Amino acid sequence: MSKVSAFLRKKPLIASLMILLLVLTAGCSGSNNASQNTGKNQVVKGGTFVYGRPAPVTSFDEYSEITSNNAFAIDKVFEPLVAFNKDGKIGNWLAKSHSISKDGLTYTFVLRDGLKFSNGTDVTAKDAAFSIQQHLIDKGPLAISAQVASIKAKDNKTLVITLKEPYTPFLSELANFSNGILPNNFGGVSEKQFFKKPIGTGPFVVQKWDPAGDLTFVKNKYYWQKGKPYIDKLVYKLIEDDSQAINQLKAGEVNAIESLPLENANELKQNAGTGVLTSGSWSIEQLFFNTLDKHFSDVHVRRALALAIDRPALTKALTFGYAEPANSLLPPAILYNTNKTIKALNFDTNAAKKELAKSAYPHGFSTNLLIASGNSTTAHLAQILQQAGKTIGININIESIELASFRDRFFAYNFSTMINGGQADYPDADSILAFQTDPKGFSKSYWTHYTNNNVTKLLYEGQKTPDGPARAKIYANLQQILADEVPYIPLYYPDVLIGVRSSVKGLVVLPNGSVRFDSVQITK
Amino acid sequence: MKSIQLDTQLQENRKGKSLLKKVLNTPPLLWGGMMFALLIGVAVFAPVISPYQPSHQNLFAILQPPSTKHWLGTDQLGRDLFTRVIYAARTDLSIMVLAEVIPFCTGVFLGMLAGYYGKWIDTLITLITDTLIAFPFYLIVIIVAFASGAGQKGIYITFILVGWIVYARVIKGLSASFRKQEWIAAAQTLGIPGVKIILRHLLPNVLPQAVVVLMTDMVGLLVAIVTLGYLGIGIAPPTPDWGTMISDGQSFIATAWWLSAVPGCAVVYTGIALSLVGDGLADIWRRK
Repeated sequence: MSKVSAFLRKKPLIASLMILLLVLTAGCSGSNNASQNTGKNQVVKGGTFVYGRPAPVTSFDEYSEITSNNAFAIDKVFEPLVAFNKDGKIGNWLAKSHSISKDGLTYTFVLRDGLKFSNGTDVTAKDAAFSIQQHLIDKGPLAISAQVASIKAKDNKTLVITLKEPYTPFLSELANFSNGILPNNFGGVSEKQFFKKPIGTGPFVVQKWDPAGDLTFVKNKYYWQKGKPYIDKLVYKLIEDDSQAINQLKAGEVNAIESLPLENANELKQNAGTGVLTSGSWSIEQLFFNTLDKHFSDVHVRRALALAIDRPALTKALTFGYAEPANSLLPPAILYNTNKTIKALNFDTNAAKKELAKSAYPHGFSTNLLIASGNSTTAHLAQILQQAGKTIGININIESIELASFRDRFFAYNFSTMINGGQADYPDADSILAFQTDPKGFSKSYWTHYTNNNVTKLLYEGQKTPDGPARAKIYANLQQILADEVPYIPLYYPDVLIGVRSSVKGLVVLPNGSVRFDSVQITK
Repeated sequence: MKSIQLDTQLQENRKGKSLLKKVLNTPPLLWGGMMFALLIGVAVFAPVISPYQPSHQNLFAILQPPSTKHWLGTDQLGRDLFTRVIYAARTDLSIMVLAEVIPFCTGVFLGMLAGYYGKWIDTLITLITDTLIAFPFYLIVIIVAFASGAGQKGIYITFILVGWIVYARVIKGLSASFRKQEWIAAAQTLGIPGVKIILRHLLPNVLPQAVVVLMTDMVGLLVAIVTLGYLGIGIAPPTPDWGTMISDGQSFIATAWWLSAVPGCAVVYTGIALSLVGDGLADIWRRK
């Protein structure tokens, strides 16, 4: 057998004591001194900001990437015409103004004056037209859904986009990192070469990049926001293990960390010298049903399980105050959410039993709950749901498998129920709703195969109706149908959590989980 | 007739006395035995000792520190930690014992076969053991656990596959040394068939050594069970298990260190108990 077990066999006593020692030392994590805050209004310039992240940046290709490890680096180099702020509101960014024609078909953007790429060349409407045109050609995982008729640079500063039919989420789509503006024709090099040495208008420029490790940015001296960014360098440091990241933050080896488990947030808050920044997120934890499953094709079964789950209690126990219990599918940080007004199926064991009695399985049954291993909150959530099912006679076996096989399983509809998260890519209600209700879409109603013609009709109406009370009503109706038929049970909306040193000022946390560093200062 | 009966009774008494004496004269065995007996007692009487159910959750009383109500506090789902630790002893110890049965029997038997007959049987068995030994134990465990799905099945299958090797290797050497001794030769000349010699005469002589190996091997197996639980591919929740408990408590190591430390100490305690028993048995056997 292996050396380890041979050692255990030969020296079991020593081995046992070593395990004891390991357990004990794991408890003693490094403490540190708090750094002093100057508290002055003067801007502190310079310095290197080190950001601990759980996954490396593997590509800057804004058209073909979707995962956060790359997205949150791409958005430092490329910037869109319009952008969302920390409340998810869309405003002008590279565009100094924008207008939408009354019929909702023509979008006109006027670029800011003095805009330059990081190599010093001017940004023109031609560059913007090329960037969006190229996304329409490349498509990719965040392909533009609007039916674009034409994209034209009217003059050096004015870009006009015309649509074939109105599509309200379009402006929101343009705010996505995947529609960042880059030089016309990739500055004369091939697309592949360009994304290896990306040039954009963002606050930072790639200096040194190891696709399997760390990434160093330097500030873009041509950045359009005068005087920003305040820091000279930004380093994305790869720290795969969460507890190691927390220890490095406490020790002051990094200035902030991107991945902070909910259960560790208070630990950093109570620790002198560190703190937690939060933001309402665009994500929502859910229990998904495969509506092709023999048990969960029955709406009464789904409703019964929803009634058996105490969402406020589980939210409180699992998230330590860093999440809000979910009633509606849309998170509160997204417009047209109905979290306060919707009639959701609230915890009531008796009602749950009555509902199950109406189903084809009045005496309960056994089923499987598929979860991805490696996340302690998910593992605990699964056990709470297991207990809830037991109260009404539904016997839930937890099947915990590694993330890659987990994805393969649900992509193939090979599950009965699963715990997974919904995440909006841009701040329009349509982002989550289309992904989770369109049976013809790429995700087939988030792999639940849920099909309801009324819901589909409302979804398409919502895409064409301009913002206002009419659109709000459509989405309220849509969310109510989902709450009644529960193809998935919304559980809670987790906050975005970023662990920071107290000496850090001006870090902006965005609801998609990204962070803006252009105003960040490291005070001494 | 009467005197014979008396004689055997006396002999039995003496035998019993001497066994007790032996145990008392071997402190590792005495202490280890007492520690292990206590552990088994707690595991068997878990439902009597604890007023709680191990999987009963109370989401409104999570992560409570130790108190008179909850001796070791509650975990992240509001379950009583003490209850879970003693119920986990049931799970882990019973798997440990069950998973050793088949490897122990096959290992000892194959070891005796190889040692007694030698020649091609020995070559074949050595070839298999040497091949399997080339693979790191945990690699095999994890591959089998993934292939057979999480749960106890993986542990049993892995141990049936590779657990016998250690016994086979030890017993083979021992049997080979016995083979050359006179009493075996005497049995052979009497025309007793080989299998009978192995089972009747060889087995009782190699058994003590096999039991010593068993004790230490169980420690290794327990660590493997706990490791699988820790990695999330062992015993499925809500069944309590020390490994999953250690990993569950890991995120709270700075705020509620006892969540991981208590099950960790339970593993250490069991390891020490079994090692002491093994050492003690080896001592007695050596003295004989």
